[in-house]
Amino acid sequence: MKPLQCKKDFESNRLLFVGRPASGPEAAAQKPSDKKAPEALDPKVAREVAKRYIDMIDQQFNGVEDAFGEDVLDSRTNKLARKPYKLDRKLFADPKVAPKTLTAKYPKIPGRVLMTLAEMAQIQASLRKASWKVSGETISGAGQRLDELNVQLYRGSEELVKGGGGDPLNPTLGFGVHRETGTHRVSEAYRGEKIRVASAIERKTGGESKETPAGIAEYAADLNEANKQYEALSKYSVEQLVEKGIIILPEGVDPKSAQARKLVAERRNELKGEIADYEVSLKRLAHNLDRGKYGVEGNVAIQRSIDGQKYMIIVAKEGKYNRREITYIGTNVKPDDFNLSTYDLYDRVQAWEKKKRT
Amino acid sequence: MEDTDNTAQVIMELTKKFDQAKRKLDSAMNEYKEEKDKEDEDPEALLDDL
Repeated sequence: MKPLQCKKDFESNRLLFVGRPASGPEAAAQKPSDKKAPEALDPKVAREVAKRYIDMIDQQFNGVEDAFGEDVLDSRTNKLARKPYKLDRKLFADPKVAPKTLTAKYPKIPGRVLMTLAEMAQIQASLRKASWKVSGETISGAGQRLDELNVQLYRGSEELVKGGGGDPLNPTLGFGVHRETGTHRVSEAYRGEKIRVASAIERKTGGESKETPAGIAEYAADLNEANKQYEALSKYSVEQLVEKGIIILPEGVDPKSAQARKLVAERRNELKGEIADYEVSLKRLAHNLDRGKYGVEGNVAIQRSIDGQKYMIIVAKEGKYNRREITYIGTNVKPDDFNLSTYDLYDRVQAWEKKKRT
Repeated sequence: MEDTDNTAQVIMELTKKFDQAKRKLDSAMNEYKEEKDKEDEDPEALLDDL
């Protein structure tokens, strides 16, 4: 059987199926004169269409790059070769980039061409997003997502899964699956950001969790405090630290002395170790919610962003198409928030999802 | 399934937008090429236009 292909009927704006004998809904779709309403579109076909259009947009960029390129002498062949005028496609896809930025960067290209390319790049980004959503791929199959965001997941210095998966519903979220252990690690991922994952979501194994939100709150508060101290020790001089009461030097030690600086450096190193320990504890305390007991589908984890400034609670739940949907409820979560009951957590997820829809 | 249908519809809408953008791009590129040809043929004609 020939591979299934599809093309678009520009008159009716419907997808037509080609490449194999038409039958059933496809036969109906191949006859534009037939007024019968089309059947529900096969997600695979919709995805194929999206892919073709994504390629077509790439071709438009290639065409413009070529048109504005120049002929240069290839020293190896001693013949003229076309050198394309390279365009930064990510820049075009970013809706925040102002038109004047593009015109300044590419003075050779007329503004109208640049604006249309920007429009196309944004259509391409939306097509990518929609194709992930419609495809219902498993998480490992959606690996392009993190690459697209140029996001790397780290825990400590260990780089986690490259690629991993992503939530097509929200471009700022991504998560990875460790291919060896099958552990889910969830991360809030912003474009171009490196993320250090402080906690992990373990595969749901069933049974009642022994870990409690209160336990997490305690560790989160300690971790917060340790981070604050560490930052202060890095930011201020020894004299300032003494003045502010952040450190108390042993009696007889001059704040200006090398000994004082050495003591502060030692404390900083100690704190570094403590922070790492707290993170390990937090990971251990990342707790599973019992689906049956609490009426919440999925697992909950907390995590800290790489800059140490953000905490968030994340709920991962089994989604449609055998895919896990990731939701987070609030950044800058305060330690007290970890005391929320699972019902409260669930309410916050619902409120967040409602806000996202409107 | 409803979500999938909606997303398929979104894809259709996006392809329609692309078609419009493609027409715009072709027109803008043609315009550019015509101007460039004119410039290559008769550089002084451009000065006259000004």
